[in-house]
Amino acid sequence: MRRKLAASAVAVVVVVAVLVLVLHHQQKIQRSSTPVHVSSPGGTTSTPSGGSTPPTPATSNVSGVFTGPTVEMEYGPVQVAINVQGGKITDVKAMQYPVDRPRSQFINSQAVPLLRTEVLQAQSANVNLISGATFTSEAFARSLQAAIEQEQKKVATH
Amino acid sequence: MSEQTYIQHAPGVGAHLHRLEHVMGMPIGVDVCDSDIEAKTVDRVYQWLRFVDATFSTYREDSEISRLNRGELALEQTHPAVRSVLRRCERLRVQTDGYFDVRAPLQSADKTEVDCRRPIDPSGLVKGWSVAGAARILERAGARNYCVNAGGDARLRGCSWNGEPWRVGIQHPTIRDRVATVLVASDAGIATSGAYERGEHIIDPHTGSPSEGVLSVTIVGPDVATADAYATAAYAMGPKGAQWCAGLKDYAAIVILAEGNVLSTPAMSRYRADAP
Repeated sequence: MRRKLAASAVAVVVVVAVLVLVLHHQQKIQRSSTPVHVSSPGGTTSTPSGGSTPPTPATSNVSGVFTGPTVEMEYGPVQVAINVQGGKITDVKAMQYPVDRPRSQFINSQAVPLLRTEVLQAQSANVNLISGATFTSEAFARSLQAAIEQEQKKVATH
Repeated sequence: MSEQTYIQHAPGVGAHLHRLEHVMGMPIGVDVCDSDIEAKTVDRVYQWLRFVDATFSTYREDSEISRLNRGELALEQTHPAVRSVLRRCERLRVQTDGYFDVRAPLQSADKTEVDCRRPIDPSGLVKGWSVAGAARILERAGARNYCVNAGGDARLRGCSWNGEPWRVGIQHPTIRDRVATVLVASDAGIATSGAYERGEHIIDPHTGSPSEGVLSVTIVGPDVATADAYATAAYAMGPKGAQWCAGLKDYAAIVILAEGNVLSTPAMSRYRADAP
């Protein structure tokens, strides 16, 4: 379980690394176009003072496949590639799959994890809510509700 | 048929707005434990739930789903939400190998004939989906400690009125005032599918017969709508559904079998109150 968490954490790090790559690419494109001006309330335009960065445009025309750095994991290297279309990530793929070591092969060939089995208990525990299937069918419940509402209407008009 | 109260707990216990109304044929409860949430936010929650009922209910002749099924409404004329839900249902059908299927009847009558033009019934997703929508209304109003519970499909976040993560009891399949186990969560969707009494079953879409051997499946994960569909599908799979659930990413499962044992996936251990 811990390995799976570690794998997910590394995958996140790698995807973030790739995103940084993509955004860096986007900013390169921005710098080559005309600089952004911020208009002051007085009506005159002026570039922002200080260290504020220009806003990222709402849409981007960045497209392509970006591969992240190869990250060494306990049982082999992992590399993630993202497919970007029009500035949006459309696909994420694992590029390298560690199959060169026997332990990795064992992990790959692992069947679905074992289920925990226990005997059904009947507890009267302190809970905030219950989650369960209903004891009566929805049809019955609706019919009963409709009948009650009709009865209430009758009572109200008399 | 509603009741709304601001529950006064013992000193030291937090705010608690509780409301219960019958919609979609079941009691739907909303509990909000943020002190600054107004009653009108909860009004909007129930307006949303009644909209879902009016639009999707197969028990209402004039719902869009019913009219769609009778051919009185074309798909292109339906509310965008209807098309969005049906598209999602189709993705789930593929993902669950057809065990979640809007064309399969959810409840059996004693039908011996096969009806080839079965109407669609998306209620295996709609219930959880309506809860997710209700939670979003609360979230947009700033709520961070709440529970929306629609007949066993629930979305919970944060802590309950006593400052602890929400404690959820899984209904015992045969003893009404008992629970099979207790789960604890502070950011999750939970859904249970099943049938405890005879004559009411979810149909296995592959065989057309009621699925046997499983009393209930409870799924816990980030989205209550997905949990609802997974629970419906896993229940229809019968006892092998537990193994399918073990392969789910981000969703945990507890399966109560008819023989009186309980199977749970490794992912469920983080939610167990009685973790070993």
